[in-house]
Amino acid sequence: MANLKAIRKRIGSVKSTQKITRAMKMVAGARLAKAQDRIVALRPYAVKSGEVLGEVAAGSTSGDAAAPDHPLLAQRPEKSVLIVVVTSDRGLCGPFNTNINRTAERAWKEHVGEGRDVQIATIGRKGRDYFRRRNAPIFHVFEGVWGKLDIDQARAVSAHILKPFLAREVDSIYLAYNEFKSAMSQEVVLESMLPVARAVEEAKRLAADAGSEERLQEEFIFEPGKRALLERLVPMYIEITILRALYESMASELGARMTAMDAATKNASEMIDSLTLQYNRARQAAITTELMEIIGGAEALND
Amino acid sequence: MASADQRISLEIVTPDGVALSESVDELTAPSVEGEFGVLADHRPLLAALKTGIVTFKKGGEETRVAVGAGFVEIKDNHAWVLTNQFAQKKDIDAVETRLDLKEADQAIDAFEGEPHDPAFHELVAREVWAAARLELYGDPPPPTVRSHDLEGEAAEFVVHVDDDDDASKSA
Repeated sequence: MANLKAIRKRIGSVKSTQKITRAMKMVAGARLAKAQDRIVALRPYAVKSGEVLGEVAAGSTSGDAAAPDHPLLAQRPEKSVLIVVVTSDRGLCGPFNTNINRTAERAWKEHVGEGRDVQIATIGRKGRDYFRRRNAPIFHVFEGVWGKLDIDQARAVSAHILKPFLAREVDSIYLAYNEFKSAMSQEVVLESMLPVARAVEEAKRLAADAGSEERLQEEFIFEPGKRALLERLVPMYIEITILRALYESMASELGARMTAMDAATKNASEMIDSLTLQYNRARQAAITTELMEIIGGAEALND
Repeated sequence: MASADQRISLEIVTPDGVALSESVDELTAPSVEGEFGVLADHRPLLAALKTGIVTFKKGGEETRVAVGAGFVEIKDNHAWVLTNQFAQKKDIDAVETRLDLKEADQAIDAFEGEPHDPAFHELVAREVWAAARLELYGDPPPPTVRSHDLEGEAAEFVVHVDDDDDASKSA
């Protein structure tokens, strides 16, 4: 009988766990729809600003000897690297954070192997914990980004990571985040953000993806001049890149959590089924034993 | 070339999506070097915008909207305005905006730090944005508000960079 009671208790606890995982799945699903909308809404802005940057930067990198290349466009030999790792604050979202942290760690080790100086900036608690445990050289920990996710957060991050680049302490900046593919799948992306020449390529790719028309050959009038425009455009482009990465990561996290919680809910169902089977078997066995005892007793009386 | 019925398709794009999409006859926008107007078949143009009012005409009817600092690209009778902020007259709450302006103004007065501090720029940007919205509302703030002589400074995206020369010296 003690066995029966233990199984019953076990079933109860699995059921209540299942309730939680099911609720988490629902919540993630509801928030995912919103997060996806935000990505879609940001797209035209991101694509257009990339195009605009491409148009201004295109002329600037070639020729134009009179104006030296802008510090924000500078391409220096890559000696020191900053990797910005975007993870979530909370767990229970499957391999989401592990994937991103592993990719970033691999990049870190590779750069170090090639004799570069590497620093790491983290967004999200999971990345912070991971790299702190591994004694990584941490440049900055951005806290509370996920609490109120908007353009101001992206601007704060962008301002902070541009400083060492302009001060020539860092020669290139990479961004590691999960790109949202669908609710079921995310892809880890390690994107080069600065120097911007590579980012411009990236922007062109994005523009091509979005199917925007080929740019004109016609000469643009630049107001107020290329250099001044670039001074505004590059930080803005970095901001948008970060904002996009944050949005993508947010949606990916929710998608990953939904998938993970869905799997957990299913596993709980299976567990409940097998426990119920066990429970019934035990119950039957108990009944059978009891019957045998009664019959045995009755037969003993008949004799 | 320019035919009378040629129109410009104007799109105002913010990080929250396309805020406005219209086919217009002409538009005026506040670039950092002053207001400029655009008619159909304009030469390709890329300009930095400051916070202010974008005006466009459509069939003789004039509409005004407030935009934050950003960029405008004119190409092939397309005008894209990229900005972080956008407001239409009907969305503006005058009382709230006035309070916002006042708060920003006081914060600027109380600000102790370098004028290059990003936090200071943020405040100025906030003040200028509030002033632009009030102007659109038809209740412009008094000229004593400092926003106007700081507007050049207020462009949110400007990063101040040391010139190449002194870096090469120190290197």
